[in-house]
Amino acid sequence: MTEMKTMLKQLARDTMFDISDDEMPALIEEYNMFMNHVQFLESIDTQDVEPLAFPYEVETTFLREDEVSHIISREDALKNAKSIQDYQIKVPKVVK
Amino acid sequence: MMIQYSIEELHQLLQLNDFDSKMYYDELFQEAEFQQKKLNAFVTITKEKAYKDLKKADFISLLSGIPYVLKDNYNTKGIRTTASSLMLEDYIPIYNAHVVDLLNQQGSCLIGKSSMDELAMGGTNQSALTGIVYNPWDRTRIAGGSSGGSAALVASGVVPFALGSDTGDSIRKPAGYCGVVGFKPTWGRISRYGLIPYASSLDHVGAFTRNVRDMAIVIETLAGHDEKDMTSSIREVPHYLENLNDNIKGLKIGVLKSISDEIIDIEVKENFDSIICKLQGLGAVVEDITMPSNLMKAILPTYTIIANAEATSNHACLDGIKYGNRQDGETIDEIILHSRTHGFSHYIKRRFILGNLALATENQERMFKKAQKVRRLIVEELNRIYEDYDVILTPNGRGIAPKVNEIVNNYLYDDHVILESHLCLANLAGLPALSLPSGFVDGMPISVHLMGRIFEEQTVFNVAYALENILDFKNQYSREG
Repeated sequence: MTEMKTMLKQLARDTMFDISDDEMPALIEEYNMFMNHVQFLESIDTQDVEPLAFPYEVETTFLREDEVSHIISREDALKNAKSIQDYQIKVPKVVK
Repeated sequence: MMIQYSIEELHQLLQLNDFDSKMYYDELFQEAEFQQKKLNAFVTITKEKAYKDLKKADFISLLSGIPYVLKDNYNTKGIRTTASSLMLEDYIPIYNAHVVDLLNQQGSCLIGKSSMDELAMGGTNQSALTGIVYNPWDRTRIAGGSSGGSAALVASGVVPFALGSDTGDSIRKPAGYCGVVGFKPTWGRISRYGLIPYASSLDHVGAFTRNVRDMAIVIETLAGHDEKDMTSSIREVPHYLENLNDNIKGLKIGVLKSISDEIIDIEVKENFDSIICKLQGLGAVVEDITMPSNLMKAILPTYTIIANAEATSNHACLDGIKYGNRQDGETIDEIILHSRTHGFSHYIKRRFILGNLALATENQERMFKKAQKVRRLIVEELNRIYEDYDVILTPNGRGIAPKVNEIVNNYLYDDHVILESHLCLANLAGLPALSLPSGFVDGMPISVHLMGRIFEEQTVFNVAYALENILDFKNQYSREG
């Protein structure tokens, strides 16, 4: 159990958040169910079956012309950042 | 009170010279505030904007001057858009979702943003930042999710239509619980630009209305190509309202026994059987069909793995730095870590962890790719059915909306899991799908579910329209709960 907890905590860390001990029992329950799902799918023969990434093979994928459009202003782009300075998003120093 | 009108009824009223639209909206907001106390369905009420929009409305087009609600995952320029997540509690978009622009062009009046499961991940609305949404038919029960607020506000007669989003059943399940029409079209039919995503290969824009004609109006307005969404289809949009036809003689309807045989509740079963009889009475050719049981059992696992994996990837952008609820930290990594730890509820964290598990290099083939392969098998099986049948009919779920204190985790395996989770077939295959009120059990509404071939929205609308016309649930709403 401790091994599983450690693994799940690390997985949370890899997903860039922490989980508390209080959150662990429900996570373990859901993890076990998820692994049941995985196991069940393993019982289905998918030899020579290609993955389907979208509901149907998309008939039209396109790229628009490479023209400047849908421009947002610098002010707008920074509007929702909590810490800005001189029209830039401020973050802690990377090189100390 | 006069605010329970359908889109078409209200449109006719708004065109009359002696109709006081301002007074109508005054009453509407009184009711909205009253219902908010009862249902907790709004995140934000946009009263000021609605009156501004109303002043500009010319009432010429069917949706001009019509009040509506948006699920709070549609970006609205200058209006807080939280997706019911603490992470986005102060987020004010700088642009509109494509469908919001379309409704603005029509002159529709946004009256509020509605509550939802956090980031649309859930079927109960219990993970919403603002708390659970109550069912207008019985406030001891849930409205369902993830588009619970939108469902409740249409079902309580506050607005004639509301937008939701549907990744697994997030429009159709709450529509069923609340006794209104819920619809999502073919994947690609409506642009998703500006809709905060959940799982891109499964997400759909869709709507709630109180009758099928209104649904045809809303979907016709929203459908069409948008260069800002590269998955949006270039196919021409048919005139759904004009082509609406309740003559369904000879149409072939397959009753998916693999689902309907799972019904336990006798009254739900009787109701479902009565709908089959009614369809036969309308001249449709109704026949039983089945799908292999291992594929039926694979629906939920396939959906869960794909949805969680795509969600984890999509929401990697929520770091608290560019936008979102930033928390302090000594390094960039710490800021992200603290912001995400603080900003996501435990429901969402669990899903992200499992999504990340499925995407890890060492697991990807065994989990994510495997699920995508099984998805192909499921979709191919459905397409085989559609070679012979125009529409697939199933019950919308196992029964009525659960009590607030009896919410069951969607993930839990139990005997009814196939019945309860099968609506996501329409997401896996991108099919147009509609939930139609079909009756009542214990005073609560229940529904049936209709799925058509891709891009055959019209057929689904026509079957629903024919049924609706011989049932008694058109335009129903409840303010009694």
